[in-house]
Amino acid sequence: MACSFGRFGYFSAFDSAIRIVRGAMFFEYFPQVCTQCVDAFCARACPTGAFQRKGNIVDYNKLRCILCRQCLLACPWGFIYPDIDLQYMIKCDLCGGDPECVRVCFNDAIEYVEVADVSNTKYRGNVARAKGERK
Amino acid sequence: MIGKILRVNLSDRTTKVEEIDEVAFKNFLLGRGIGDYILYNEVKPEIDPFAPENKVVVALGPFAGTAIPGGARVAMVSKSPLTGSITSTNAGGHFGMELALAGYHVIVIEGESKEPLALFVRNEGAVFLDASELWGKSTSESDELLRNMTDSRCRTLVIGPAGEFRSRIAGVFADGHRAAGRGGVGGVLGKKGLKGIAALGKTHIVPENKDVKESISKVYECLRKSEGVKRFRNFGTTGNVRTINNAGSFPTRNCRDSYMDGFESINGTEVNRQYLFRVGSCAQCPVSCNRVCKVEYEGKTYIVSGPEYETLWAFGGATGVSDLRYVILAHHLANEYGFDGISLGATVACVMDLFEDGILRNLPFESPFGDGEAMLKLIHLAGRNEGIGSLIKEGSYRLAEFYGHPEYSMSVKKQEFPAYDPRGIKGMGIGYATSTRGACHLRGFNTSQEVYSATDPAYRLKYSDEKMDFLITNQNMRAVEDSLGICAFVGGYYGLDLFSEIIYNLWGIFVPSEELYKCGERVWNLETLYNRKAGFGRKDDTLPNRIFELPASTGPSRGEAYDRNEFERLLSVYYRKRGWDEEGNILPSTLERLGLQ
Ligand code: SF4
Repeated sequence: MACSFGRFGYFSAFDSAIRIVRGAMFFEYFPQVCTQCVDAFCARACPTGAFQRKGNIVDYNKLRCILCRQCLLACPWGFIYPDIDLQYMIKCDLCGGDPECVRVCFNDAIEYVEVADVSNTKYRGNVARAKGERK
Repeated sequence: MIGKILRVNLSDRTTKVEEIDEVAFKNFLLGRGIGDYILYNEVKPEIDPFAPENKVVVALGPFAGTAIPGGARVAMVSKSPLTGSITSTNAGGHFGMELALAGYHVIVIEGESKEPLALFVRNEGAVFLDASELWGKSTSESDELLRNMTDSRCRTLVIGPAGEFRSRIAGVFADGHRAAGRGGVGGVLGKKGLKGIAALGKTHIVPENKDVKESISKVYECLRKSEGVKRFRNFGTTGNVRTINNAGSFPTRNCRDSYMDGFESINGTEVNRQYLFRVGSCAQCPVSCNRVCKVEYEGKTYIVSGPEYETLWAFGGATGVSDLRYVILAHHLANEYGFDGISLGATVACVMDLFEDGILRNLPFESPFGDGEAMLKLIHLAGRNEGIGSLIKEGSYRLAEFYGHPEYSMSVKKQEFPAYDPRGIKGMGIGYATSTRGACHLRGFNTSQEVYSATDPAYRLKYSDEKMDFLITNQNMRAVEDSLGICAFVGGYYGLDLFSEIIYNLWGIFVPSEELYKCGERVWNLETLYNRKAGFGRKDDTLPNRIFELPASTGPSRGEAYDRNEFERLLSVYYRKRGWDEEGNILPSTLERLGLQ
């Protein structure tokens, strides 16, 4: 909600760059959001260069996008979505370093941290969770 | 333009879409207010609540489907089978947000279907589904099956088996576990043959004015700073067990007492220490007061939603059970069978009380008060509608009346007491008595004035007139919050000015803050008017005899009963301040002031 509102100025659960997937268990949820890969698959796949690595983020330029949706297929995580009217793609750009979602999250479940190695951090997080430490 | 109304007729399976009238919005807002308005105009007060002419109005507030904290509650209004009065009840969860994003703010459910049906609401419109597969399933199973039948991203509103066999204390459940319990709306839906509603929303809600962002930030700022929110996150409502016991207002063992020895074992800290698995939250709410617990019972592990303060009382204090595990399981069972936790717990306590006094015999227990196994057994019987369960499901008043002793039922207008004892908090007594839907802590919460913010601990025992001012303001404010679909726990952080500002920024409709308050008053008076037409009067605005006659024997309120003369005096003061006559009928001048003629 905060995401779509910060981005587009309206409230929508679908046009959000962060999505929550329900797990099989009661009260199990997985938030899904772009990891801003260094060597980004979407950038490699994009024929027009709408996706480009810029500084810390992978930037999406709506004007260049021709809606071929190669990025959607290329992303190994499945973190890029078309918007609801199928006019452009939606991907997290960290709101320029001050993400709206972090601002509204009270439980500090979302933090803004810069990590060099996503898979390793995730892995460590999973181990910590498996040990029963709540994050 | 604000939202749309979806009319669903179950008899001929048709749907119709209507606009929400702006004048009605300005007078009654949405949520509980518009529900009352529709019911008042369309359902005759004297009909049988289980008749096909009765309707259920499911209504959201104007803030649903946005990022406004706590604004996604779903209100349900109907003529209650438990009390016979108008009832409005609301649930949290994510259903409200989905429904708003599907483009509807109100669903009016009419008629009656012979076959079980479910409704699937999307932006493209609503369709009926055959629900015979879901019939008889528990709430969480129904939630899952319904999502499998439609779309896994849906959010649902379902009834459990209790609703299906028309229990008068059955609730409606959002997401399968967030209850809108009171008043038996689940039973009405069960009679109508509607098992559930699934909603999937894809539209956006575009605010009229960009300034809404600043307004929302203001609320977030307040919430972030507040100590109360922190406590809610850590304990939910469960921390209240200690506070209310220390104030001698915890109705114990079917109101035989107002203090529970050993309440520490069912207090919030114990819940957190032993069973808490994680916390959960409703849509668009940062407070996350919902508890999720993990309990083991008979070799199985259950991950369950709950408990709340009210259910800790209903299955702990009221029944005298001090083993937390049974309390959490009982809460879970009540949810799964689709009962209102408060009423079910209180009715089970009533059974135990009748048994203790030898009126009820032939039950397989020794001394049921405090026996967790006995409690679970009684709940199972109620959930299967077997044996004494078929009486429990009718609520405590009808049960006690069946055995010839209605005075054993701790209820007002046949709706059971929640977890605050009027002997210890005098203002709550008048709140219960005058509530438009029977005894209820959400229709006048004097505890906050008399316990939470009182400096003098004896203040709660005084019969003072100014408590009535607080009560009336509180009742009206609750009506405003319910009509805006704002959660009771969050509403206090807004204030009327901010409400009015957000409504303007979001929908472009200006309702000044004094006018908003008047809306609350109007809603309250409309409900009372409806009840008066249904035959309620001063004789029904009363408390059970036990509260007047039996003084509490232990705890901080030892020796306290409710003085009957003082009660009558306060009630008259209340009526006068409301602008009603001695009999509790609304004076024509008051009706005129509120534009309700
Ligand atoms: S405060 Fe609790 S009940 Fe209210 S909306 Fe937030 S999570 Fe839901």
